[in-house]
Amino acid sequence: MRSLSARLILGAILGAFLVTGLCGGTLYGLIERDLTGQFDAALVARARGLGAMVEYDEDGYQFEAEDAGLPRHFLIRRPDGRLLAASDQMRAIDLPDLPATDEGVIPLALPGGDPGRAALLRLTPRADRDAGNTPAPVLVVVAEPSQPLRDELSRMGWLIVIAAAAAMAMSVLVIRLVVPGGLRPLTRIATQIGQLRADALEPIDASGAPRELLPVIQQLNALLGRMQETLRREKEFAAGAAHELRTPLAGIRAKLELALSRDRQPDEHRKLEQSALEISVSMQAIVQNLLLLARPESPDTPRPREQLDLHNLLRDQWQNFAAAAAAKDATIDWDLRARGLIHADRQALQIVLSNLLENAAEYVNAGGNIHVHTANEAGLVILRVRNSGCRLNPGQAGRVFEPFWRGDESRTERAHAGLGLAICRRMTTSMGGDLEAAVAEGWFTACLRLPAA
Amino acid sequence: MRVLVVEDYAPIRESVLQTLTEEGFAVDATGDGKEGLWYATTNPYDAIVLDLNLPGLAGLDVLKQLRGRSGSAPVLVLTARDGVDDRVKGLNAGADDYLVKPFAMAELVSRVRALVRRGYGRKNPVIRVADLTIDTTARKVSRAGKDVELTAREFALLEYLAMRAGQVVSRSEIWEHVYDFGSDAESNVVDVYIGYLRRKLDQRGKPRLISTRRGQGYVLGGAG
Repeated sequence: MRSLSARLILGAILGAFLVTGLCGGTLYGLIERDLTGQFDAALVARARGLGAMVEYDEDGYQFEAEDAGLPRHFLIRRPDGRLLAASDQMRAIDLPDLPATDEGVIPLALPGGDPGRAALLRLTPRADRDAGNTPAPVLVVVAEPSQPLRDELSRMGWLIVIAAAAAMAMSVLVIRLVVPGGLRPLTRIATQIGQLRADALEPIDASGAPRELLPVIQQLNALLGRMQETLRREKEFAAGAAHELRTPLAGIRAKLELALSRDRQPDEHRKLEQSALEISVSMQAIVQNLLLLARPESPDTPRPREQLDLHNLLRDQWQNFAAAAAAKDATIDWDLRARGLIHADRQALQIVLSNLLENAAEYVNAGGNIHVHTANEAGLVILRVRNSGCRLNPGQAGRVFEPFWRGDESRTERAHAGLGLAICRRMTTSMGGDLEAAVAEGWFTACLRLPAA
Repeated sequence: MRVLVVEDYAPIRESVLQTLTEEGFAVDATGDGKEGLWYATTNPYDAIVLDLNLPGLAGLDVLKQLRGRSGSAPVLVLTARDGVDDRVKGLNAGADDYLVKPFAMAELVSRVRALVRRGYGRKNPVIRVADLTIDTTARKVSRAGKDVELTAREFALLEYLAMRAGQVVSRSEIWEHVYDFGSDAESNVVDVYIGYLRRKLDQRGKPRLISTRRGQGYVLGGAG
């Protein structure tokens, strides 16, 4: 059963029925015992009264009584089994053949077929002074029709059944009212969750919620918080990506509209279309970078790793940027003292190194310095790429890893979408390392740590 | 009408430059914010197309500095950001209009034309002076119902005179609004073109539309 409410209601109703049934049954049992006990006690008392009327004298057992005071159903037998006295109705009756010692009250079919109960008592009669021997007990039997008792019990039984049914009906009513009421906080929270809008994940209001639900609400709110943070980042990323793509897209559109705006010579067309093509190629690079960044880090598909010499890769990559640095009269100092063997994904590491060196070559001031330094430390290879001429303030160092963030909006070339370091950090993390940046006294330092091979 | 384009992304700058030139504007273009500000403050542009994301000096700063001086040209801001906040920021900094990249070139041209008109207090793109009709959008001129064929340069000169119809316009003003830095024209070129215009506009028996004020310049229509 899916519904908590229905399950609770059913359980509570079953419980109530069980309890009511048990109580009713027990009550009926008690009443029956009590009424039967009273009935039987009256029978026994009458039997004793009859027994007191038996005398024993020299002639044997005597029963003397006036007919008026006698019960309708009785008989008295001498110890030898011979009848001493009996009412008319009982004279004919063939009493069960009871053992001599047996006493008590038994059900008995009365003459004429009516059900009844009979008290059987063995009583020793009073002995006359003149009697020679000691008397033996006589059997005294007094019977009564039990129909009045049965009627009374049946009446009681019905009363109990009616009362129990009423109690059950009441309990069903109460349970059906109480259970949904008790579950209302759940419904309220469900409503709140239902009203959440995907673009505004407000925390669930926990005030007034029962204690049992607080942990659920807290966990839910924590989850909502994390989702909101993810959504915010996704949104920012999408906005940043759109912004990055708009400018080159505008370029393509401008070129093509210009080409089509009037009749042009073939070479004019070629030039405009060529430049539209070039822009679209640069857009492809931006899209590729965006995808690199947006690709979720999947632990299931680890990138292939191999043993690599960091120093060789650094020198290879620097060849791409040496000319740019030289054009600015910037000098580069190599201080490669580490044992530079690392275990990493070649392609990813190349992208990281290329970005770090390119940044250094691009942001170094004219006539400035670039330092490339490696060292070993506790199972790690540490690479520091530093350049002078940094115009960021120390507080901005951490932001360089934010996608689309440009330190100096008015200086950076359009070729950079502000994605490079964000991609670097992501790739470094996926290789089990980390990448940090620091700014101090005009120097920008990127510090890359990777596990040594 | 002379327009300054400040946009660092070369493909857009070049295309806007060429389109506006082909549409009859005199256009100067630069990719650097500081240079743009210098251009804008040393030349009487009729409109400025300004990208907000510029090297040298950010576009918003260019705008604020421009607006710090009096009498500067209307500015059409170009930007890749289309958030309401960005638009509000640009307009609050003094932009007269706003265009989000990527944009249609035809829209840019229309907006620049509208800004230029606004700069001269004109709402109607068709200017009438006596029996002369100048359609600044269609680039067509007619006098007394008859079309007059003008070269692009002649039209540009007439357009400027028409914008300021009734006012005395000096040679250097005409020069500054009709030629850009790219033109290598002689100093007497204004007089030469005024001569061409008169020849084409003034038919026999009709009053002269362009009159000369000695030592001051020229007036289109009756001087107010």
